[in-house]
Amino acid sequence: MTASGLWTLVVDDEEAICESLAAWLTKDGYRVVTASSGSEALSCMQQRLFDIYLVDVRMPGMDGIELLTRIKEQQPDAIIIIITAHGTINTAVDAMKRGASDYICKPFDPEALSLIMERVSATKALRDENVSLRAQLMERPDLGADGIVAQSEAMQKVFAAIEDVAPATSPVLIRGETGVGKELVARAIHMAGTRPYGPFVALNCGAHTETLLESELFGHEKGAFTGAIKARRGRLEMANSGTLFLDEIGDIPPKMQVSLLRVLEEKKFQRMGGNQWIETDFRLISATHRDLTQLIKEDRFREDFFYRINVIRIDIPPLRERLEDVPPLADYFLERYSRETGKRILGLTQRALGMLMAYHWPGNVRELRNVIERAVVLARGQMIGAEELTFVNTRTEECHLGTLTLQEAEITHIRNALETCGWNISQAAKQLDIDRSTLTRKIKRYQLKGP
Amino acid sequence: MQPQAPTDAFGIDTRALTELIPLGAINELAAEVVAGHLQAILELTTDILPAQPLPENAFMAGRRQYDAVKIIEHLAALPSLRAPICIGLTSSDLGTPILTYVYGESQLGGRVAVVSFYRLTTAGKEMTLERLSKLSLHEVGHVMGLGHCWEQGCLMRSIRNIDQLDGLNMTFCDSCSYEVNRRIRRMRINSAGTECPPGAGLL
Repeated sequence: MTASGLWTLVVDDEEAICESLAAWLTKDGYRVVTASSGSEALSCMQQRLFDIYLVDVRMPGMDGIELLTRIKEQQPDAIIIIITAHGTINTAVDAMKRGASDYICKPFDPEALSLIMERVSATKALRDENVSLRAQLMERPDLGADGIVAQSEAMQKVFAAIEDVAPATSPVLIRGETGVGKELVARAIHMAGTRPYGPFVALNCGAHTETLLESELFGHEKGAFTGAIKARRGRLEMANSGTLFLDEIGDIPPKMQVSLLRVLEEKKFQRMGGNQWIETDFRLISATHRDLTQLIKEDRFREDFFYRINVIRIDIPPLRERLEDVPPLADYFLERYSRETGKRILGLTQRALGMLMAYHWPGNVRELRNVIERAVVLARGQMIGAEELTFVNTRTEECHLGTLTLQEAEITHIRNALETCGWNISQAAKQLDIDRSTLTRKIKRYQLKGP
Repeated sequence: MQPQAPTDAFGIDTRALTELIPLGAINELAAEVVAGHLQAILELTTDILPAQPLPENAFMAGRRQYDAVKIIEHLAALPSLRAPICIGLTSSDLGTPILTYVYGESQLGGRVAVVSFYRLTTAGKEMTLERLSKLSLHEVGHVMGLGHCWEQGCLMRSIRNIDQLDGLNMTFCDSCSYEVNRRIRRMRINSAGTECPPGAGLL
């Protein structure tokens, strides 16, 4: 791990300590500034903010703890290492509670100092990488909140809702059909919230039997049940200081709903087979494709639990209700799978795009992703054509044209083709494989009007 | 007129660029081996000066160690120093006000370093001398202004313990080698006079 020029401020009233530490750090590649008091340190911070602060606890005037608080006010993510003497360990513990990254007793063991500096440098590098990756993600204009591809008005409302709810810590319930991207929305709320550096722990409640689900959630002690050969942390414990995302929450058995409700109320729980209370503090985001009020009527979902998890609700519309999101989504997946497979695919033909736009998408975005992935794998040319999408069966009952008359289907199909081509009649005619004059006649007959 | 540097019969500059000062009682062979390595690896002509006692004010009674920073200050103030690099060798344990122990200490981009073999004597005489030579070359690198290097095996790699010291080669990596030699060449040019001011090698 290289220090690669991290700016470091050493604050100690003893000049010998400052000089000695500065010399040692400089040899390791850190850029070091020294200050002999808390107030001098604060004035150094007026010039620039530092990556790492090494602060002595005992100093005349402003002591290290007060300085720590002042630094944190200006720079909440500052990495601060507290320097203590052996007699001031309790103060060091206090400093850790106030947000210090670590503490070290002077005189230092050189190996211990190296390890601490390497660790905090690594933490800094990871944070920087995280910020840079997030920034890269945000640079894509068609990506909304944290990587969600959407342009439709319906999804813009979802983005606005994410922004509104993120700063709060209240539980959120996301409702939407399977494959609409409920976990992506949950992640976006987590990343935009107050604890983005905390863990995001996801669990699909529908994928486990009752005992396994309980063990997954609460963890277990060694010997809690047959096969529990060692103790294990549950998701509730892992999600401490972060977000717990429970997908398919409608599949949680009522008995476990009671236990979960208790955890949400008391913020503590016991592992299976354990008798120690474990404190946990997480934000709960749940998701379901089911109608929970119907489940309540059928006595399969507890009403009190429902009200606890349904403080804020976000509905994600299905893809068929926001078909204008299909082209950017298709482009996004096309680019992604082209990169993964190493194939040079330029795009979709108008006809292929028309087919995608006419489809009902019962599996929503996940289905679209699979369709594009298969199309990219099968593609022989540089464009994805209708032949690569033949498995999208627009004539099955899944197709939203299924309940229409033949004439209504024709009108819808022509309108879709025209909208896809931006009402360029020549292009639409080409896509529909009919003459321009035939299309003009049909537009007139069906009284279709452009934007 | 520029003062003439002393040369041998072949016109080669014989003036020492490094002076080794044994501090307290140390094995004479140790100073000779270190001088040999400085000569062989860095082509630094080296004189071994008469032994001197360790400065009393550097002794930290509570820790039974000598303060390496104070030893360096003491050596840097010696009026008899002539060469641009000065290395103190001691068999006593060294520490600094902030570190519980150090194998060696140096002025980064300065003139003086001090190296101890107190903690190097765990694996026989030959190994001790090899370790001492590596440390001396490492500290000379610092005196030349080089920081720690992250290249595996390079002499300028940060040394946290004896195992890491033993894992180093007796060479600098390509970039450190280039840099240290460039600075030594510059130091030779700058020290054409008979006396070298502190930091003469630094550019």
